[in-house]
Amino acid sequence: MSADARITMPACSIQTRAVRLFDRLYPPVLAGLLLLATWEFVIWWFKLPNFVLPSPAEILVAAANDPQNLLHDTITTIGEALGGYIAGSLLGLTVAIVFVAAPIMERLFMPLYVTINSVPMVAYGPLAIIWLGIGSFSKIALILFSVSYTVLINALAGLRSCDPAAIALLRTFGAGRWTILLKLRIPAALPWIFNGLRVAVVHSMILAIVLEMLGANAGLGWSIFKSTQMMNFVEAWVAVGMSVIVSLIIYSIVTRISRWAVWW
Amino acid sequence: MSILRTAISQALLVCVVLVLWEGCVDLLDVSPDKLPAPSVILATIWSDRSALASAVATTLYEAIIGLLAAILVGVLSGIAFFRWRLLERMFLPYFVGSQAVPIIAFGAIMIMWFGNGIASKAVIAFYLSFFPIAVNTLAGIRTVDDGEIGLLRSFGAKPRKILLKLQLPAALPSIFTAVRLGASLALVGAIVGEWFGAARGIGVVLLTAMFDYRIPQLWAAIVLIGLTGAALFGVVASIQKKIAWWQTEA
Amino acid sequence: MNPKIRVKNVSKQYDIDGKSIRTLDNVNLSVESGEFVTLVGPSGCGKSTLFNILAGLVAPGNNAELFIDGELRPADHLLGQVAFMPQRDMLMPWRTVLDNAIVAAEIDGMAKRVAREQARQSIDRFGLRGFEGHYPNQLSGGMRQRVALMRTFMFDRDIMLLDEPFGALDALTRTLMQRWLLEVWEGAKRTVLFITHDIDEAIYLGDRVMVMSARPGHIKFEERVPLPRPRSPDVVTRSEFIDLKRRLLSVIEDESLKAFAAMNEPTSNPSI
Repeated sequence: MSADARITMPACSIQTRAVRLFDRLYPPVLAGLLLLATWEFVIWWFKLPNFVLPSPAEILVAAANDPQNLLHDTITTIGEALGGYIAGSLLGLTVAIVFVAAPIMERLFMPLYVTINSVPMVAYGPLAIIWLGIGSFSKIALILFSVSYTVLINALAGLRSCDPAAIALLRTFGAGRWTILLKLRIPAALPWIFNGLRVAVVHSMILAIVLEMLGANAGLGWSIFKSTQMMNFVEAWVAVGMSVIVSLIIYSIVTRISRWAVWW
Repeated sequence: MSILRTAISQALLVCVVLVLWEGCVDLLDVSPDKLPAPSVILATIWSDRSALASAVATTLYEAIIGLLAAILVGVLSGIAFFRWRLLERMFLPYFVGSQAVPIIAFGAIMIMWFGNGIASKAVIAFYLSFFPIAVNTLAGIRTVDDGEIGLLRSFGAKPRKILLKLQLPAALPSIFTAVRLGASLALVGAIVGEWFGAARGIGVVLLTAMFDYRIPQLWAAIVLIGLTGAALFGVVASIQKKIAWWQTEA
Repeated sequence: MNPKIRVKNVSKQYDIDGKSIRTLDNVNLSVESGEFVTLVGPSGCGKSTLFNILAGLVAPGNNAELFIDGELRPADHLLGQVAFMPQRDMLMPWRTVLDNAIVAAEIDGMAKRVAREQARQSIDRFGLRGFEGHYPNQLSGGMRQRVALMRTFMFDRDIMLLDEPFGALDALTRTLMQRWLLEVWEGAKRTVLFITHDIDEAIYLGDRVMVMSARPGHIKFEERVPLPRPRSPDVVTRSEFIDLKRRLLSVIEDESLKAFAAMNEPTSNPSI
């Protein structure tokens, strides 16, 4: 009975796939090139000194000039962001499961959690630095706290997103609580959980950098701050550029993992 | 449990925590350097109230100006993306991508370009909230399917009318979602912008309190920032209720 | 010989917002082993509630007695005893067609590998050859229902409860699915209780048709379907079909009007 079968796409030749890929890519690439061209043009036309707007080439040169420090800063920031992120995600997931298994815990602790998180996380930066110093630990702790909240609310929503009728159906098959949790609740929650994880990873990079600007020994945010203080603006651009690149890479990795885990 | 009852019980829980906090600080004799009691924080807010009020006002001003500009330019950009597909294909990836990277890091450069005054902070608030608003405007316009557009066209409506009477209103819930997000981003942008260099604002108060090691004042700033954020969010939410009450998305 | 299913004095009352709504009132019916019984009734008459009770999801009122194979079954021992198919297919979007089909059998304790093998062997009968590895969101409505039916058939129980499985399909697909369902059923003689609001479907599919009254529901009318099996498509034009349909129509129209009147009262809650 294939009368009502969906029409499946015929297999694509390599050429069609390449053409389609090119079609999708050339506008943003064009936009990027336009941006670079405009950048160079503006510098040249207005004769801008390099502390106002260095050219892309100058930034690349400056980056290549001091690779060790740049690398050290990058690794520091990544370490803080990912450290807080992984720990915070695990905490958020655990608390979500606890809250679903024992709703009384949620009623007791969630209001406080929500209130604390209604203040933008960056506002707690100075507090974190005073309590935990300017080393990496204060950053990791704050990121852990922020990420755990994001992951928690997404995981809670996901674990609760189950259609009660679906749960009822599994019960008619004789499924018990744990079977329902494993076979239904958790897979149904995965899209939400991974959405939370994707959002949280962006927050962790932002927080790491902003916190370093408040006080740190190393890191991309600290480098940005230090460079602007010392009027070394090209260095600031290098650090900013690096932050953008690193964040994009981390974000795409998390997105890839999300797509693998939530394949439907 | 009705919403009112849950809200009351949650508020009560928070009050209980505050009381416990006050009690613990007293009993355990925690130094006000580490963790001041709520009463101390409130006293600090009260005694500094005029300075703090003007600081909050400054920061709010920066954030709101940036947000309003972002709404204007963002919605127009979203419409432009809708109207000219090539523009969308060229720039939308960057707009979407900008939300995955810490563009707040560009704040240092904004300060350099626009000085230490209000303008630079408003610019930061602007570009932080601009991208999500533009993206959501486009997405919102797109929620209208061809069937609905076809219906209006069968009444003889021209594209501009369809845009104004159908697509933009349909985009409102989506736009407001982005504006809500943008409100918190704008506030954060204003505060962090002040850290880069400013004379006035609640972000400055926070920073000074950190450097001077004045903990009660630090906490006062935190509390005020939280209240300001909530107030801003509340204003946007109530405007949304008035203008786009038919919520099709969360 | 005991009937397969015997329902005695099943009543059900819900208390909502201080008001008490009686959805079922003294339902009595019995189904013989291997019989295909269709149940028709207006919206809100409690058909689905009856199924929920039979499947063990909802407890009936105090005087109820439910017998399966002649044995009295306590209400809390019914879960897992019948193969239940609700109105919506409830396919798991993260499982392939094959894995969705084996869900019930898997929970029942069958090893995944064995279940998959069994499923592969009957995939042709359910018209899903070639789609084993597809995901639900790639399937049409008719195919999804077939996967759900396959899942229900793979749950090895003698009794099947099908709650309007073809309700969401367009008329053409529905006709095809009805014919196909009878084919599959002939090959595996389970006892079937089938809810529908479509009289033609009820007569075409069933050995017996029962009509449920408007809320509070009870069995108002039942009659054997005097048509030979296997049912050919043109059976709908036979005089016996049309006679039975005429009788059913008059009964159902009464009840539908009552249900409609009840729905338009401001105090009633038709969504039960």
